[in-house]
Amino acid sequence: MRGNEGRNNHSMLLCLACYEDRLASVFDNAPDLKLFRVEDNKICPAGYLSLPSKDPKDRTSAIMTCGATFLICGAICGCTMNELEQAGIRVLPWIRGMIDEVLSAYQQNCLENLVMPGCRGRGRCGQGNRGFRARKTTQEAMHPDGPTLNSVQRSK
Amino acid sequence: MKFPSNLPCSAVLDSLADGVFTVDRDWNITFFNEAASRITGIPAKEAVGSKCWDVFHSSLCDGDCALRSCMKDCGRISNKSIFFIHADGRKVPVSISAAPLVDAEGKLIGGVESFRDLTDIQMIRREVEESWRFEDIIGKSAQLGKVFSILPQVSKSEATVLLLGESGTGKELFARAIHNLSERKHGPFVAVNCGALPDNLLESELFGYKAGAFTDARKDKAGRFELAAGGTIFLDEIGDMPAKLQVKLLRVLQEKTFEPLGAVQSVKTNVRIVAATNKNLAELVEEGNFRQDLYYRLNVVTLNLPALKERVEDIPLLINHFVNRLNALQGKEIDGISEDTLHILMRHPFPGNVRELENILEFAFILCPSGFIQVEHLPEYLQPQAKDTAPHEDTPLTMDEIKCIAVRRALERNNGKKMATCRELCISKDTLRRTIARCENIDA
Repeated sequence: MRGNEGRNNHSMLLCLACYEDRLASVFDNAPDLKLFRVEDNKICPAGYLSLPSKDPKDRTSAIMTCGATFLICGAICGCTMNELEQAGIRVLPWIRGMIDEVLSAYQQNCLENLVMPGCRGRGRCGQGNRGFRARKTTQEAMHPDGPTLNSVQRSK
Repeated sequence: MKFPSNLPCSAVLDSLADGVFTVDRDWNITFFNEAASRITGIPAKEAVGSKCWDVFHSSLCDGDCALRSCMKDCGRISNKSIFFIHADGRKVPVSISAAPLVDAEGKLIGGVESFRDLTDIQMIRREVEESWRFEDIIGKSAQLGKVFSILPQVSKSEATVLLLGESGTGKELFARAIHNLSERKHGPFVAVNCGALPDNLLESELFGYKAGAFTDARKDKAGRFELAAGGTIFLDEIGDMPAKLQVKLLRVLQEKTFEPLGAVQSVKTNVRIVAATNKNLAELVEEGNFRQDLYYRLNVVTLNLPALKERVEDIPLLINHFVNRLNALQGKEIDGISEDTLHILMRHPFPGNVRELENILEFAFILCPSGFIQVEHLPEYLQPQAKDTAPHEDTPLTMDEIKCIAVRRALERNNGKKMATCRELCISKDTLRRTIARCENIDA
């Protein structure tokens, strides 16, 4: 994984498309990207990026330039989704919630609870269930024995 | 006849074709009608109780919420074009209207938003737009319609065509259309700007030369007439052609032969000629600057291309066409232009015609990051401020006149919203009302 290059095997850069202190409703319009380094059993803030351009290509490049390869976001247009996936970025879309809430759910491996309305019970909207499989694969790789973190351990 | 008292309001709203939802003051959805479920793909039972931005996921949800602005200013928004992302990942164009919800005592309790799916309308619009396109030429005006109606017959004939029109009216586009619609469409289309080349160079460019014709002419060089064999040659700015070349061109037209520079034998040519000029050739003939016999030879079929100011109704179509093209070329997602920007462009006299419009939009694309092109993205000479200040530069203004200009501009910036204007200018509603009334008297 590109985000892990040069670091230990349990490190990954997570990218959240945000509006203020919540996940942006629409990735294609999200004004900010917040980066978090997931290392062993901790999630640390790793940067912030303001996105002036709405061009999907610019957004993909911005995420790649940061070194992030895993994105959690809200609603996303199918074309933008393809663009990101073709660039090797794993996307977990159609998630809602405040940043803390999302990070906490990520740690506890229960992001499914934050799926946007209309997507629960029938896989991820639009693209089958690939997002969750990608998410689980990533976490399984990070925590083969299941999630071990709790919110107290998470550093901000 | 009275409205049935036992009919619940939700039943009425569910029978509408437009999507409707309401929110409380904390942005939780309190009602989601059937059409809203159908259009968004989200069941009402899942939508109700969720935050509206998690359900509607529209282009306004992150920072530019229509409902928020309505509830803040106690105003209304109607027919604003936006898009939302459908649960299946499609971008759905919708037109929204929003208003605050107040209870019986006039207390704000939330907001209501209705939305209409524009997908079908956009599809129909696209089909209609195609019917207004002739090759690469866009327009629905009567003036252009006349040209469109005769263009196929003209193209099919082998007649020499003279295109007349101001600079920037798209003469080359018409020449290409004539070529593409003719039997010669599989042959080459060669364009030469007669005004852009020096006289001696133009001759060798058009007719070529033989080795030894002049110093440095080491080997034969084919001219544009030879390169265009079997196709069409487009001679732009024919009015600028020097007199001695006019004779040579006349010979091409009459005898279908020409002699390259330094050649001893004539070369046969099989080329259709389309000429164009923005000058009045008849006047040039009268002044003795253009050969009369050549003029009559060229003037077999004349097409007068209307200036853009004569076909104002084509401006929105052309804007749409250029926005789509620039989006594709630059990988941007500009939605179009705002209404006030369109008003400015519709009133502009366009001395540079379609080319000027294209340049304006190219400029706006540099400044506009996304969404709709706004007035501030236009070149400075089109900005309303520039027009307002220009006549006043040398004339002193009274305090009242200055106030009027400030109010007018603030109203324009805030799309006519008075409360927002008051906030920007730090004045009360009454002061704004009095100032507007005074300005109307001054203007009168």
